[in-house]
Amino acid sequence: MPEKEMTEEKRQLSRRQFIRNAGIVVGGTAVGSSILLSACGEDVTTTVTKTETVTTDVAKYVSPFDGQEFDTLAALEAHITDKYLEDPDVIEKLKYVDPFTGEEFDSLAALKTHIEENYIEVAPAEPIEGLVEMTVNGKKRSFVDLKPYSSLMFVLREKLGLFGTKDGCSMGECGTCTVIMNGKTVYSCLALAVECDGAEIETIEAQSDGVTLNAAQQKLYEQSAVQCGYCVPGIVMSATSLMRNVNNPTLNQIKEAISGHQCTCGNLNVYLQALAGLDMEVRR
Amino acid sequence: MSDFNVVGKSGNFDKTLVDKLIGRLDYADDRMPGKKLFTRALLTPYAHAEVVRVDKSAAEAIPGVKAITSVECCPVFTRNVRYGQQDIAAVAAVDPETAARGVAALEVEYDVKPHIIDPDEAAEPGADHTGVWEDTNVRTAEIPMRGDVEAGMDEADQIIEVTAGWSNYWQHRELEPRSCVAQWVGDHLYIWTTSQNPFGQRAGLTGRLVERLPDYTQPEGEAPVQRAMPMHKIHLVSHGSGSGHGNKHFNEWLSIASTLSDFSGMPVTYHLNREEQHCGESTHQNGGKITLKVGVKDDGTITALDSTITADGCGNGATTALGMQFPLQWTFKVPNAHFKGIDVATNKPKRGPWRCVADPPGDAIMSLALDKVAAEIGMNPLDFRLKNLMEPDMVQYETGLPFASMGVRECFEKAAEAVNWNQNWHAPGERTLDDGRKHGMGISGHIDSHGQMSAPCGAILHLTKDGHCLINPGQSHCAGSINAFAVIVAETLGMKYDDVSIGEWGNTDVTSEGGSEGGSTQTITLGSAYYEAAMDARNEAFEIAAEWMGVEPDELDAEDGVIFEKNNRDNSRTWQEVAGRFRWPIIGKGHSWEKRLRRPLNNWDVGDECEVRGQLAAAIEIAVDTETGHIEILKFANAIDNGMTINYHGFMNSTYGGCEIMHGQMMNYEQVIDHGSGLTLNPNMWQNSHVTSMDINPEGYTAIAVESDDHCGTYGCKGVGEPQVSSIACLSNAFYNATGVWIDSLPITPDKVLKALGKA
Repeated sequence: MPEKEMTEEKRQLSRRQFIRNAGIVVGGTAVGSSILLSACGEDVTTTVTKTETVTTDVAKYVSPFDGQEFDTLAALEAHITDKYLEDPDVIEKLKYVDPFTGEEFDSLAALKTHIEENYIEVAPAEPIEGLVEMTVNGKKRSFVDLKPYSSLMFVLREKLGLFGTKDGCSMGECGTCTVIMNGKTVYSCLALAVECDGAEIETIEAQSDGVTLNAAQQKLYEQSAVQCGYCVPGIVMSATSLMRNVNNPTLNQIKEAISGHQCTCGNLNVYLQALAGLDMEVRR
Repeated sequence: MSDFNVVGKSGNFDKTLVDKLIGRLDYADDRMPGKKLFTRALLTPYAHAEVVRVDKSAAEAIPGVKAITSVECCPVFTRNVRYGQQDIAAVAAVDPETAARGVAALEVEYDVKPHIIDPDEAAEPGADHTGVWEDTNVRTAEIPMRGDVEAGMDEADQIIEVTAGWSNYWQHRELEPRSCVAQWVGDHLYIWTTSQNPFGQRAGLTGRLVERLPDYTQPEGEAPVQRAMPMHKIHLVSHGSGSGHGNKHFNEWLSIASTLSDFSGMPVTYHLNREEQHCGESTHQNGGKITLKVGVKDDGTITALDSTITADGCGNGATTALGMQFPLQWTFKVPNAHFKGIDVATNKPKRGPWRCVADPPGDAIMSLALDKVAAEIGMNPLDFRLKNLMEPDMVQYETGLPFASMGVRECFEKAAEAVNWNQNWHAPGERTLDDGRKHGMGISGHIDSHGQMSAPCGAILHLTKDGHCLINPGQSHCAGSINAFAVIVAETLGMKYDDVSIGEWGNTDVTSEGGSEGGSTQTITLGSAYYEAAMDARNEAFEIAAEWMGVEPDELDAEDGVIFEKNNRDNSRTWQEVAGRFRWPIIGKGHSWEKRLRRPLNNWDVGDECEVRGQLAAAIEIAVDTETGHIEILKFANAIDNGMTINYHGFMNSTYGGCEIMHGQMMNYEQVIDHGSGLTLNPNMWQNSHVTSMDINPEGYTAIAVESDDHCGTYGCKGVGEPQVSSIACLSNAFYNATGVWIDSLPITPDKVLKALGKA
C-alpha cells in the first residue's frame, strides 16, 4: 500500500476513520495512527503529529518525547508511562494538543471527545468486508462467514439453531418460513442473509417464553386449532404482525394476512375460524 | 357419547399443542446446526432412458463437495429411468447450494428411449413400450362376476352407459417435504426423519443397507462377510412430521442420506427441494376413468352394473384399477355386477398412496358416472343413491362378512341436510342467483376401503408412582392420533385426560412397534393395543386398590381420577393414593385386536370376522360465474362415519381440513407434464397449489360426525383420515346441476369451465 500524507487540510474525518485512528477494534481489525496523539512536556509544546506519516495498513504511534515508534496505542501509552510519567510534575504538565488548532487538553479522552465533536463528519459507515450484523430476537448477532447466496432462513436455522422457522419450499411459495423483519413479515427463504445487515428480526422463538402465549398463539390455543403443525410458526408470525397493527381484525383482514401461507393438512379454514373467534364444532 | 368421561370430549387438547404454537416441536432436520452436510439429487432430463455412465470427477473436485452416490452404489437408484426427473444420483456438501453445484457437475451418459405420458396413447395397440413392465403397457384384472349381469340387465327398464374421467394426477406436496438426518456412529445408524411409520421405515432400511462389520470381525483370508443391516443397529426417531398423507411411509430418502453419511463420515441431511419432492421418488395420486353400464328400473333401483375402470399405472407400474372400483363395489346393493380393471403403464412419476390407495379417484369417476345415470333417468341424485345404498344388516357381496358398523346412509342424509339439499336442489341449469351466477348442488360419497384394523402392533404404558400415566407410542406425529391413544388410555383407566402424558414417541429404541399412521387405521388399531395395555395396568393396580379397600378387584371401577367400589362410591381412593402403594411402577402392555366383532351384531357373534370400513358423504353448494369461469363454494358439508369420535379436536380439524383439501383436489391440484419432453412443468407449490385463505369461505364449512358405533373398534371407533377427503365428485356433480354441462376431468379450472360452456 502506498503511503499517504495526512495533512492539516484534511480536517473532516468519518466516525469510522476516527475509531480506526483511535485504535479501537472494529470488526476484528485494529488500525491505528499517530495523528491524534500529540503531547507536550514542559519544554515541548508543539504538536508532533501533523507532519507524521501514516499508512493505511501499518500504523505507527510516535512518542512526542523521543520520537520512538510503536505499533499500538497501548504500547505507546505504556512507553510514556514507563519513561516519563513517573514524575507527577510531568503528568500535570502533559498536554494533548489538537493537531489542527493547537488547543490543549489534559487527557487523551478529552482530546478524542473534542475531535469527535468538532471535526468528525458523521458519515455512513463503510461496509466491512464479510461482516453482517443483525438483531435476532433482541440479541445482536454478527457473522463474518456468510455465503452471498445463503438465505436468512438458512442462517436462522443452521447458524443460530432457530429451528422454529420451518423450511417448506425454499422458494417463497408456502410461507412457513415467515419471520418479522423491521416490523414487516417476510419469507426468510427469499431474503439473502447478507442483505439483512442491520435488520431487526423476530422469529417464532421470540413470541412466547413457553409460559405465556402471544395474542395470536392464544387464539389458536383456545380452539386447539392445529394439525401437523409445520405451517404453524409462519401462520403465527403473520397473524402476530396483523394483530399488532389491527385491533380485532375482521375475517377478511385475517384472510389477507395469511394468504401467503399454504397448509397441506387443509387447516387454513381452521386458523381463520380460530383467529376470528368463530365457533367451531363437530355436528353430531 | 354421554357414557364416556374422556372419549370425544372437546376439552381434550392436542398434547403437543403448545410446542407447535411456539415452534418447539422438532421435525426431522431440526437439529445439528452447523454440523451436518446437505444433499441435492440429480434428476434425469428424460422420461425413459438407460443410464450408461455417471462421471463424478468434476463434481468431486468442487470445494465443499463431500460425498457422491449414484446408480453404481446406492440401492435406491436404478439405471432404468422410467419417468422424468427420476433421481439417479445425489451429492452431499457443506451447504445446499454447493451440493446443487456438485449435482450440476455430474456428467451422465444416457441411452434415451421413447416415452409416453398419456395412458390412452400407451394403451393403443402398437404403442411404444414404456419400459415399466416387460413387453406390455397394459394389464387387466377382474373381480369374479357377482350374480348374473346379463340377467340383471334383462330385468331393467333402462340400460344406460356412461363414461367419466380422467381424474387428476398430482403429488400431495406435503408442506414438510421428505426430510431426514442420518449419522453413522461405528456400525450403528442413527436417523431422525419425517415419517408415518418409523418401524416400517426401519424394516425397509435393513433390506437396503449392508451392515458395517468392523475388520476385526471378518474371517481372515476369506471374502468379507456382507449381510443386511440388522434392525437393532438402526436407531430411528420421528417426532414432528409435517403432513404425510401416504407419501412418508417409505425410506428412499433415508437410504440416500445414510449412504452419503457412510461415505462422508459426517451427519447428512436430505431435505428434498420441491422438484425432488414432486418428482424424484415421491408418490402421486394417479388418474382413472370409468365406463359404466347400468341396468336400472323406473324407480331407480339398480338391477345390474358392468364397470370398467382404466387407471394410470405411471412409471412404477402400480396396479390400482380394481382398487378404484372399491367405492362402487362396496357401497350399493347390486346383486348382479361385474368389475374390471385395466392398468396402463406410462412414464409419469411414481403412483402411490395419498390419503388412500384409490378411493378418492375412484369416487371422482364413480360418483360422477352415477350422477350421469341419475340424470338420464330424471332422478334426484341423492334419492338415486339412497334408493340403492347397502343396508346395515347386509353382508358384503364378495367377502360374505357383516359390516361392524354402517353409517353411510346417515352420512348422505346429514350432509344433504347441512346444505338444505331438499330446498336447494333443482333441475340442471335452472337456478340463477341474483348476481347472475349459476347455482348448483352436488353430492357424493361411498363406503371406503379404509378405516379398518391394520397390521398387528403393540403398546406399552407406565403408571407412575405419583398416580399418573405415561404412554410412549411407537408412532410418528403427523395427524395427531397419538392424542387419541391418550384419550383411550384415560377413559380405560378412569383417569383424567390431563393425567395421561405422552413421553417419547416415534423412537424405535424405546417404544413398542406401533404400525403405520396411514390407511386410516391408527386410532382403531394401535388404539386397541392401548386399550389392552391400559386394562393390563388397571388390573394390576386394582388388585392393590382392592386389597386396601377391602373388596375384590372386579368390584371396582374408576373414572375422573378416582377408583371406587361400584356398589358403594363412598369407598374410594384417588389414583394418586393407590399409586402410593405401588411397590414398583406398573407397566401395562397390549396388542392390537383382530378384525373381529367385539360385541354381537344382528345374527353375528363376538369373535366373528367382520368388515370395518370408513364411510362418508359430502354435499356442496356452489355459484358459477359463467363469464370468468370462477367457481365459489358457498356451502360444503363433510359427513364422516367415524364409528365414534375419540379425539374431538383431531377429528374436527381434519374434517374441516377435508373440506379444504377436497376443494383443492376439485379445483387446483394437477401436476402438469409436458408430453414432448416427459418432464413435469410445475414442480412447485405456486403453479401446483393448495387453496389459499382467499379461496375459502370457512363459515360455509360443516364438519359432521356420524357415530355408528362400530362393533369392532375400541369404544366404537374406526378410522377417518381417508374418508375425510374422498367425496370429490360432488363438485363435478354440482357444476352439472348449475349449468347442465358435464366436466369429466378434475380439476375443474376456469379454463375448463369456459371451454365446457363454449366460451373459450
